[in-house]
Amino acid sequence: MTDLGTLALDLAAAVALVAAWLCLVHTRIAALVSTYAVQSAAIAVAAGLVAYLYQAPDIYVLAGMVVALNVVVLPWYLTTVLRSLGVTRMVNMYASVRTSALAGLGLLLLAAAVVGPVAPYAAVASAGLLPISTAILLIGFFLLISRRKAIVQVIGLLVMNNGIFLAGIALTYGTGFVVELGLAANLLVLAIVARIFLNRMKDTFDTVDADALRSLEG
Amino acid sequence: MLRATFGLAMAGCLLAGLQGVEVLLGAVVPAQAVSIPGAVAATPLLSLGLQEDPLSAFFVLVLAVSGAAISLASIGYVDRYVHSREAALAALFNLFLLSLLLVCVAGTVFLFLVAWEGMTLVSYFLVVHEDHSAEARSAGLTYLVISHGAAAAVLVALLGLSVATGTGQLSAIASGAGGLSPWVRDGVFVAALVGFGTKAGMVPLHVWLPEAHPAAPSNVSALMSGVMIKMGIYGLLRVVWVLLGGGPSWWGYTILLFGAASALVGVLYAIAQHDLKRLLAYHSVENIGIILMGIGASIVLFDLGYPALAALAMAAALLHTWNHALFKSLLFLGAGAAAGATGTRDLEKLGGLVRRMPGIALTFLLGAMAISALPPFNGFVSEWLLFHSLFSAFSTGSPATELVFAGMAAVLALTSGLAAYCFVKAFGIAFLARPRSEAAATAQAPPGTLTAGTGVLAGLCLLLGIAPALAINLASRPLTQMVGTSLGPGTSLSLISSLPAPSTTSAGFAPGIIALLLGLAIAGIWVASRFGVAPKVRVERSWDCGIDAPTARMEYTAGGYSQAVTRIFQEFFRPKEDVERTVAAGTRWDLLTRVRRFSEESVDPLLPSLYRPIRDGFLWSAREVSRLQSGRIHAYLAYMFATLVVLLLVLRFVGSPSP
Repeated sequence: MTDLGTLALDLAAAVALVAAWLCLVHTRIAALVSTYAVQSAAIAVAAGLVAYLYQAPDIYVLAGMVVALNVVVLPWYLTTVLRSLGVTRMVNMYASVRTSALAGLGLLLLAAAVVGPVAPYAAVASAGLLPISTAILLIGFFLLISRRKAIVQVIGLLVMNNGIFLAGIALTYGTGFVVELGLAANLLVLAIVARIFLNRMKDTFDTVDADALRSLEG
Repeated sequence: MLRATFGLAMAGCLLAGLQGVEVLLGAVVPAQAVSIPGAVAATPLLSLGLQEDPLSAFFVLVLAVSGAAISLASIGYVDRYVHSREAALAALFNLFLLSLLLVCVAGTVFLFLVAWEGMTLVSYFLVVHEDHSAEARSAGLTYLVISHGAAAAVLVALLGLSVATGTGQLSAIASGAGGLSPWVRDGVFVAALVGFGTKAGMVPLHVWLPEAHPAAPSNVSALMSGVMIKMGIYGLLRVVWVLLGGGPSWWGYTILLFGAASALVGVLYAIAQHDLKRLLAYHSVENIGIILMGIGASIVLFDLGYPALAALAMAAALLHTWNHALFKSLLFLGAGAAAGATGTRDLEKLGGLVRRMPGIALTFLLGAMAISALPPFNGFVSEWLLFHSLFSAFSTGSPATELVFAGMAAVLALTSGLAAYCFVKAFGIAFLARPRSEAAATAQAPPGTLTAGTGVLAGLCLLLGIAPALAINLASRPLTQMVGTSLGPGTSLSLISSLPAPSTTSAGFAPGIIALLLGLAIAGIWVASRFGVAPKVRVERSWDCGIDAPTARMEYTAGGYSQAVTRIFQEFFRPKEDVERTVAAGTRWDLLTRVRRFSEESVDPLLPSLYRPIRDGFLWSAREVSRLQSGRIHAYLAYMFATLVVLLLVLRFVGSPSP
């Protein structure tokens, strides 16, 4: 293990974090998708570094899968969905861009405060990896609850998943190969189901605003 | 078909009763483990088993005697007055008897709870049998909800005992409960009092009773009021006396006070009722109160170190339990005959039934005298014993006890007086004078088996009043089982026997002799009137203010009669009065008022003041919680998010980070 390697790892994680934070700031959904792709790429790099630094060859496979799925397939797929739905911008968010940006910073602080003390116990000797992955997770969650468009919620879920993936790498060099494989397969299925769901929703309500789905009250 | 079903029920009751008597006379029935083929008891707590110890046997006897008479009466009652789903009613009736029996002879906690719940459910279906009436449905719902609250308390009490002693056998719990901490014992007591007290109809947990009992078909009301509520008493005795072996005196005082409240509240409300079956239901509350007073007194006296006096109080409670089972079954059957034949339970629409159904009228009168504690009937015996045990507290030398017991004796005296007052109304308005409605005037004679059933019960009321030693002897083994001693050796099976005077007091009475004297007096009057010693009877029209031919409108009404008492206790009743006037057309003078109608509705004040806040609290919290359910997916996710953040903060600042 080299200090340079750890530095590079932290850098990749930081890029992923900044990308997550940028997700909160963007209002154009296409930009959101490409930011997600960038984040996934950063995470793939981080995974590759861990594989290299800790001689864990199966993580190379995972990294390759992230590149294939999260960087290439899913963004392309989401772009086609966006095109077919015809939505481009987020309007009427539950939290404004400014609030979201501040909340993102707050969540980063929270993650650092809560997870920072236990970071030394992680398998990967990087002080930043665990708090950063937790922060990405929380930011993804915040994206999920603060945006109306169902498609953005799908992206929020994907961002959360990136955070979980990174945390898994940091804690155990991957939460078990098979589990990771399963998670990746889930992502694909999720994206497909989301597309079908969104198309039906658009047909029925003429909107992809999740607020239209409120009629369970009683 | 009905005849066969109810005949079978009667035969079963008689067999169970014989077995009960055998146990009460000294036979020992070994506890039976019951195993269901193919089922393995997962833990000892879930084992099944039967036992019939003296306490069980006594309640089996109570159940069997009333059950047999009610089954007999049901043959005619159901045939004549129940017009829908008779077969279902008959089947449920049998199931109900079975569940009552199982409650009495359950030998393990698990079986007891199953039987208890079965009893509640079956009786619920019986209460809502006439489900075309909204009243019955709402009464059923009230009954079901309150019963389940009570069942939860029973569950806590029995499972608590079972877990604390590590066994599900009732007999094994009894031997293991002595070593429990006072906290556990007190907790079990409170839970048992709430659970069993609700089933018994103890104030203020009684509110289901005056709703559910009138709504059920009358033979079921008789069984519920006569027997089922006694299962509450059985459970209380089983837990407090047999399983826990008595307790500190504050248990006794608590039961005593709740008993006194039940007795007084019950009888006062009974007076205000104009619905015959509701009136009887409130009297059940009153009589349960009297029984509870006996139980409470026995706990206090036992704790103070007077087992003989405790046995006296407990004997009063046991006897009153049986007596009430007899005369309340009788009265409900009588009320059922009156209500069935006229189609109404409203006293103001009855009247004159003595000519239509003389047999029922006579037995109802006997039952009314018994419940009013008049000698030579059984009610007098048990209340006399209770008075005795209350007065005997003066030999304990504890001022607090003396004061409380004296107060209790006063309450009991007032209760008995008011009960007699109330039954003058119940009998007089329903059966005497002229019919107050067309339906009462044309009522058909009730079926023979119904009259026979009430006749049997009336005969037993008289028998136990004349020869109370019979009942006391039968109660002697349960008394020994609970209090360790029975009433003195003075009791024997002779018919003309005197009740034992406890050693510390001097009074005693010979009910047989009283009955003999009363009988002689009545015979003398009959002979005198028959053979012309009495002055000649002149037959004349009654004075009618100059109006020719008095009508039923001129009669005394139930409402008018009870006003005398309801006015005194106005603050308590808080009656809602409704005076309705119809003024003759074109005038505004009061004098020309054509119709005046006075109606009065007395709402149980415990209902709004005690139960409404609970209900409103529930509804309020349900409403508030439902506001969380916005239906917005973001909101649900936000709850999760907030929970996560809060938990993380708690982890950071409260919990210590552990490696």
